[in-house]
Amino acid sequence: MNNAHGLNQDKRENGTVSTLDAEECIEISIIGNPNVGKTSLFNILTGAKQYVANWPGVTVEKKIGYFKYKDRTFKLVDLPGVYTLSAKSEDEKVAKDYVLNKSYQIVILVADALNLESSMFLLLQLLEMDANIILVINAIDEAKEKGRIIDPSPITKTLNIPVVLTSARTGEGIEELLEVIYNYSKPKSRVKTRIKYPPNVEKFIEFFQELINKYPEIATNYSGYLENDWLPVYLLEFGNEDLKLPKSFLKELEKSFDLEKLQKEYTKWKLDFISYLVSSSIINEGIDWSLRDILDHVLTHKVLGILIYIFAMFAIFSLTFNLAQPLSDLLELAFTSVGNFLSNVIPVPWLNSLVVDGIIGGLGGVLVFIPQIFILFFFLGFLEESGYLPRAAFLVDRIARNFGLSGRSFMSIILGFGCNVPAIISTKTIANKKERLALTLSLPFASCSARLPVYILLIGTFFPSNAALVLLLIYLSSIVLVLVSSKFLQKFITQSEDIPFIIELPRFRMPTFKNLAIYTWNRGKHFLQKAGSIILIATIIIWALSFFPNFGQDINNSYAAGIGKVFEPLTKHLGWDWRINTGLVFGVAAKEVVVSSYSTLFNVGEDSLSYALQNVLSPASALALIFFVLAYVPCFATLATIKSETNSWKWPIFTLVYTTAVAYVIANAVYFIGGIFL
Amino acid sequence: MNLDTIIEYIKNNKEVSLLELKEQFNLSESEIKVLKPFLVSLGASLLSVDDINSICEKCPLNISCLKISKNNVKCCN
Repeated sequence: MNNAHGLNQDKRENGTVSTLDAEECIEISIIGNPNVGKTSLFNILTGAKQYVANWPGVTVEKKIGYFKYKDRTFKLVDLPGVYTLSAKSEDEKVAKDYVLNKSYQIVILVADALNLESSMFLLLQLLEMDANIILVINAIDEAKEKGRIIDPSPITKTLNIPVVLTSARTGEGIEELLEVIYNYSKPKSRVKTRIKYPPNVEKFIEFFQELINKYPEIATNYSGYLENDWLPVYLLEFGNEDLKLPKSFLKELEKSFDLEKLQKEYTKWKLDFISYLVSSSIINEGIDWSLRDILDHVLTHKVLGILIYIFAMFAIFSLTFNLAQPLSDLLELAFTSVGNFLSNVIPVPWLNSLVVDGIIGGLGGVLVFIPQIFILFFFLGFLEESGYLPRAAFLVDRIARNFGLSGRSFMSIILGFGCNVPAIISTKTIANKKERLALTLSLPFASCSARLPVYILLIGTFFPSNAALVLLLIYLSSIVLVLVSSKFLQKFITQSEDIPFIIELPRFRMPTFKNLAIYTWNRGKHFLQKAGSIILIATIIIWALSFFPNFGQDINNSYAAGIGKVFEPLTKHLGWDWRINTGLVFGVAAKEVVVSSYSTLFNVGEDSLSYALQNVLSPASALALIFFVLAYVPCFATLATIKSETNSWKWPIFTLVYTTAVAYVIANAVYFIGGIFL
Repeated sequence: MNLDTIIEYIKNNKEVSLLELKEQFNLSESEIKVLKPFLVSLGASLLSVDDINSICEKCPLNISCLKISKNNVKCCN
């Protein structure tokens, strides 16, 4: 199917390379709401032969492809995904200007069969613009699977437009669509239907068009748009901000009409008209809505939802620890055996120490946590792919509002649990500058996955019987820290404006094992890549610092000890010696390095690192260390992102000092409170 | 479905979810879908929360980043 309609000619944006004259092509534009399968349809029709550029003057992507059917060649222009054709966003403006310019002959409006209702607004706007429309209702196979039955005849008869039911996934209806496009490309085949508006709106349109005759400048500016109802209806719907009609013209209109009242009347009519079209075309809603509604209601309930979220996370952490421990023990055994073997075969002392204590010991200390990391990602992937995680995030949003954060912030917090870098970048969607800056500076408190090996090591060593509970406590504390920090920082940032916005949650779906495997591998793979790059380099550096200047004879007088001892006056009361401090210093490169550093600095081989740590730290000291790692200086990548996003060195430096100070205060609090209970 | 009341509610609350609107105004799934573009046309931004996607192309580290997303594009997440 894909290649059947594609052209072999090489085409470029400026047209100079094109072997076909533009005149020979029939231009078709493809438009629709976001995520309705527009791109899939575009790829099927053009055989994915396309070139991509930007629309003039904006950064919105413009995709063009060609296809041939029977004796005709068609040029297909993909428009941005939009809900309406106004000028409120760049995407909408590009789509609106393109449709109004009418360089095309046909517009294909792609609607999702499961969300047909949301496309009707756009359909009416296109009709008002006098476009030649083919309505394509896509994903019809998915609708059938869910028991949703759509009868397109009421739309066809009422609006006098061709409607084709397709599935870009199975190819159903594509041949029919090509045939409809081919026939519709003959101008004689099109019969226009004018929408009949309520009497008051009709009067307004008539008056508007008569009045324009007195204003030749409007006729000049909008020549070509005056033979349909678009201009008066657009003015009613979106006001004059974008149209910029003369004030005197508007005053004359206002003398005869109450525009506000008329706008309400028009909107109400449009809503009723669309509701009628939808109710007559959708014969059966489908079977999954009631279950979905119940699930949504329960999972997002302000009390029950939070309890379910806490339980879900606790269950995941429990499963992670219980399932991964035997595998982790096996890995530990393997690294110990390799270390013992190499220790006996490498005769050069410094090389023996580098390989066995440095690389095998340090890297092995991190790699033994591979099972925990992969299993945790697998279960988190299940929550995300099923559509649960966005709902859990929505719960956080409700709480976040009390801390001066908007809904746009909750996705950033959830993203931060994966990695702080994309989380900080995602704050771009927050329009309120005060909120954005406060969140950017607080997101390093979101406990990223790089910190997991540290938690697993310390929790496994000091709290094995309550491992899941402690990990849950860390994650919940992380959310609280981000929220409290945002609230605190907002006190020092001046206020800016805010705009209303609406959150749309995804459909529930059962994740496939394949998707979960890909998700787990893509996330876990990064951990392995890091082990082979930054963690390995840091491990070798730490080994060198601990080996020199006295060639491994006295680690307490090594360079590494020198670094850690600088901070001992600040950490001695917490039970942290220079080895704990040096590990934390090198953890700034990447948090996993904290673990590999300890393996090297304690110089005990990975099988007894836990015992070595138990000799140095008390449970309260270990808990304080866990919370310090949760909050202290983010990694270099995060600091670089803060610099890039705020366009100033001031904020990464502030973050460095601020997070360390907060971490130190928390570690002290945890140590003293923990000392009472542990 | 009273559009004016719904719009007033959104303006007062600044941020609402479609689910909240559904529960607050006793709307069906179909009515919510009809309503969506009206709300967008009246100036409310619509934030679709689907996959927890990262924004790699805007990331300052994307040149050196080795992470690959499930769509086989470079990804920091």
